[in-house]
This record gives sequence, structure tokens and C-alpha cells, in this order.
Amino acid sequence: MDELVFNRTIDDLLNQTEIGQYQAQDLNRVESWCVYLANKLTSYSYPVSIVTKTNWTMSDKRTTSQMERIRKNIKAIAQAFYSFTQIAPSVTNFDFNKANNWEKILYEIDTLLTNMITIFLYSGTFYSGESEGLLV
Amino acid sequence: MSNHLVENFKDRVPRQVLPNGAVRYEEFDENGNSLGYKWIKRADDPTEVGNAWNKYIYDGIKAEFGDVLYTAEKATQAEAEAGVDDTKYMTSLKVNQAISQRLVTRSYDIDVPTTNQLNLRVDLDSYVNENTVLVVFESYINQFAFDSDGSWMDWLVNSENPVFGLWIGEAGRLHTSSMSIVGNRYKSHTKMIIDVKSKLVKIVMISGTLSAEVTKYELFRGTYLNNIGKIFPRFVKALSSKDFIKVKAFDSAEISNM
Repeated sequence: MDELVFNRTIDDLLNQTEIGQYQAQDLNRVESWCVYLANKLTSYSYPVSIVTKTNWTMSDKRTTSQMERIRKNIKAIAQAFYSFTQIAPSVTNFDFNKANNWEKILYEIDTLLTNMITIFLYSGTFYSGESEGLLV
Repeated sequence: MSNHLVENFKDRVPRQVLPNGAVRYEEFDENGNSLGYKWIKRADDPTEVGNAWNKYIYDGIKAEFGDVLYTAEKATQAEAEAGVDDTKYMTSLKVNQAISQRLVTRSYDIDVPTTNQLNLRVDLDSYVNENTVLVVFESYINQFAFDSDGSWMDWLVNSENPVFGLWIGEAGRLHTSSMSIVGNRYKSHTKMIIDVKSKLVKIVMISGTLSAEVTKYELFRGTYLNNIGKIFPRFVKALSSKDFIKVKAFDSAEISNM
């Protein structure tokens, strides 16, 4: 998976850096992460059902309804699991802050999900009633 | 319903986990003083990793077996009588009481001739729908009545066709009775032994529309009755709404033609 981007600043915008422009590849990255996390969460019994588009091109119109769909996807994924950052309430005046907001949430969810999987107890390694689930 | 399985099983989600998977633990001395954090990770090089015990496994078990572990709650008496929740079980007592509560007590008056009657017989056709309900008759005679030799009138509850070829109670009787005098009334409390009622032996038409199989019972037969005004057969332990009774008195001439 491509690395999530959530450190855009006003300088990136002013200087037209790579991450200062929101293009089709950014939408594809965000939507791909939504697909990845939704599938992963569902596989671990945290079901999420979303509709995505992962083949954005520069000629595709980035409509408000499409952006709202993505926003709701991220919100659904977060609600199925956990995140610390709250999703922006709308896509109105979508700027670099909101772009950061989306991908930060996805990053948090992925991190927490990975952590959860890391500490799964495995059959044969613990007994009922053991305290704290110590590894030894 | 109550469920032995947890409704919403969750996995633990830690925040202090290193990229290599080591988990943070805090170490303490025997006095409870913190000795700081340690990051620990299992490194036992397993030949078999084993299955993770997590929400996915738990939900699978619950989906497969959860319903069979459900324990229905017991219905209250009010719920049993109202029949408001069929997910709750009732004890047999509640079932009996619930059915009984709904039953309608029916009583029938029968005028019988006041002159002496030989072999007066009162038949009761009854279709008792609930074969677990004890049907009790109370019959009153509002006039003093003796048999010709001064003995008690013989209460006899008979069936045209014994149900299972078995007569319960006294020979020739499908009931147990007790007699008492209440004022100038004879009161016989007759209990129909329900086991023998359930054979449906006859088809009758009621009001030209309803037909059902009935069991014919001979309520009583007396050899000599004097100045009987009315006989009141009445179901004390009433029947269900599907039940009906029809009572008719026959004089000796009619009986002889039967």
C-alpha cells in the first residue's frame, strides 16, 4: 500500500509541491486504503460495507457527491473500529487540512488494527483465568 | 432471551506496540514501585503458530452454536395468561392456569317434569378440547329427591363408548363424586376423569353450522324422582372456548326408544 499523506502544510500549497496538489492519484490512494481497511476489518469480524472507486483519472470530475461518498466511507471504517481523529463534518471547502484529516484517520485505524493483531493470544499459549495475558 | 455467549465480543486494541510487534509492559518491585517499561515479544520460534483467539473466531462459534445455548426466560403468570411472548417458556402449572383463566364457565338449566319419573336420564354431550383440563360438573337439584327406597339418587356419568376400554373410578362410572346437602339442595360435585373423555365418538351438528365429534355422557339416571323442579348441570372447571356442551333430559319413554 502507498504511504498515507497527512503532513501537508500551507507551504506545500503555495509552493505547489507534490503533496500540495490534490490529484487523481491522491483519490486513488485514499480509496485504495479504504478498500484495504474495510476488507481487513471485515476479515477480523468488524464488518464494513463501502462503495469505492479506485481508478480515478485526471479527466474524471471530482464532484461534491463523490467526495462526500469518500468521506462517509472513512467515517464508516472509523466507526466500525477506532480512531482518535474525528472525521471532518463535510467536504465543503475541501482543503489540505481536510485532505490530511482523511488520511490521518486511515493511518490511525491501520496502526491500531495492526496493534490489535499483534497481541492476539494463540491457542495453547494461555490458560483460562490467567491475569494480564502475559506472554510468558 | 438470555444468552450464555457475550453479545458484543471485542478484541483488545493496544496503543503501545513497537513496529516489530513488541508490546509494552510495566515492571514493578514487590512494594508496587514502578521499575519502568519493558517491551516484550514472544520469541519461541514455534513450529505451529496456532489459532488466534479473537473476535473472528468467537463470532464464528457464536454464529454456529449460539442459538442452542440460548435459555428462554420464564414467563410470568400475567404473560402466560396473556400469551404475549412466545419466546418465554411456561411451567406446566402456568400453562394449566393460563388455559383455565381463559375458560368460560357455562351453565345449563334443564327443566324436568315434576311428576315421578322412572329412569330419568340426563345426557351431556361434551366436546372437551383440552385434554389436560380437569372438567368438573356441579349439578344441583332444587327439590329433595329420593330413590324409591329412600336411598340417594344414583349419580352416574357414563360414556357410550369407553375411551380406552378402561373405566376409571367406581365401576361403571367415569367420575368421582361427593354428595352434600346445601339448604334443600343436593349438590353433587362430579369430577370427570379427563383421561377418559378424549375419545371422540360422535358427530353432531350444533346450530346447523358447527359440527364436532362429541363424547356423550350420561349425567345421571334415577329410578324414582319426586318433585324435581330443575337440574342444573354446570361446569365448574370450565372448558376452553372451543368446547361446547349440550344437555338434554330424557324421560323413560324416550330412553326406551334409544
